[in-house]
Amino acid sequence: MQTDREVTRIVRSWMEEGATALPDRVLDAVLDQVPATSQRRSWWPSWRFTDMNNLLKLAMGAAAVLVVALVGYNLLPRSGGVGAPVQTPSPSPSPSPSPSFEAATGPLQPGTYIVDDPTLTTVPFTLTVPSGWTARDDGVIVKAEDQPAWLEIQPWNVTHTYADACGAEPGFAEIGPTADDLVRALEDQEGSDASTPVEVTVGGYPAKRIVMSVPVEQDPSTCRFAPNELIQIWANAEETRWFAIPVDHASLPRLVVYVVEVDGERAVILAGHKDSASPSAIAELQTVFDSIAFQP
Amino acid sequence: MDPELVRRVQHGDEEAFASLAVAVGDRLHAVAHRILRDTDLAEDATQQALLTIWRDIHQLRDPARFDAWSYRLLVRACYAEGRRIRRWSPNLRLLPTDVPAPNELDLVVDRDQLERAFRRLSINHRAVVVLHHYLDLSLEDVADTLGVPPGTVRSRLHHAMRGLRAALDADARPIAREVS
Repeated sequence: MQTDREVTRIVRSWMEEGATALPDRVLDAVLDQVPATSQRRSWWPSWRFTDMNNLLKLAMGAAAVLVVALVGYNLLPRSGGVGAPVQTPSPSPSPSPSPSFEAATGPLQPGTYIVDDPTLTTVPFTLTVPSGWTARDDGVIVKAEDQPAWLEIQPWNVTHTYADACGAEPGFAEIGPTADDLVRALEDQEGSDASTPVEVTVGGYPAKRIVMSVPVEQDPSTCRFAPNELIQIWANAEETRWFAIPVDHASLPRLVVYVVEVDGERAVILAGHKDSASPSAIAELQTVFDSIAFQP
Repeated sequence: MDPELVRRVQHGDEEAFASLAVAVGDRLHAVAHRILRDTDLAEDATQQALLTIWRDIHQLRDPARFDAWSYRLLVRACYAEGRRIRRWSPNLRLLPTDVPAPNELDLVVDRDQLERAFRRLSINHRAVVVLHHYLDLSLEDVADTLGVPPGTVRSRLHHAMRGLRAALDADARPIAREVS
């Protein structure tokens, strides 16, 4: 039996062996292709601080109050997610952000931000965060990551779901463009359980709330993505960004899927928290989530 | 990496990119080779990562974060090459055997054993092991590089090292052998 230290030493020593130098012919091949390879111009930054004037801030606050007044609060501990039951299908008014922006990643100052990177969301939206939140450069907004009060919101432009959440190969299932297409794909996915969709509103638009879970009969040790740790739900085409759910939620937040229909476009937002989050932390997540305003 | 050099590349300076590619090529190739364990695939992944750096460098908002960003692109290229591995690798499986263990194997850790154990890991898990144990990145930096939560990195590293350890232990007591 090897000790942990011995295994680490063996692995580190072994890693030092092997090729390092990149052959000149490979470098030459790269440089030969550069003149014929156009550089892609950047999109708007995924997170932009909206330098809204006071009137707009007031309008935003009024809109948030209106939404809360229309739909009421639905706190997380009972519902297992943020969002509220549908009481009105009409969209809420949403203020237009100022055209003056600056990129925002890393720790966020309290304020209102817009997410409009098309790789993250099909419909731009704003949301307002208090202090302590961070924007990761993969588009995820978090607070207290890795801590008991871990809160998280993820925008998603979902293009590929896995046919089998525990499949041995990526096996993407094709999905159509509508909200119902995604809901059906999640319900039909092998190797995962999708809760019965609950109709809610998000940002004033009709949405469905779904909780994905690992079936009790599933043997997670056989799952390709991270055996005994995670099962795969969806990913981008390159499989460089995933939504995977943990077998055990002790160390990761329990994320809820919101599939929103915004004027015929499908927007997807995940939101959730660790089971250990306090009621006040969950209320903060609820407030941030309620501040979402789509900009179709 | 010199942020000024990165900025020049962002302005479309091909000579600056050549300098940058020379500066990072060996390092990227070394990492790719350790993740993929295959010379041809590692060269392809490095080539693809360098071209992606040129093409997408405008997506890098902070030039000071070039190293982490370039590793992320490289790991992404390794995933793509890893899928080729799965398509072309022979189907390996483990079968029990009654062949007794030679005594000397009880004490000798052979690099081939580690190689086989490492190849059984997914690319996701290999990348975490290489970034942490070869590049000496902290787990937080690995998470930042891969764009996943630190908890996921810890989980993957734990799983990978557990797998390597189990394989090393098992290979030191060869109650099984690989057959194609």
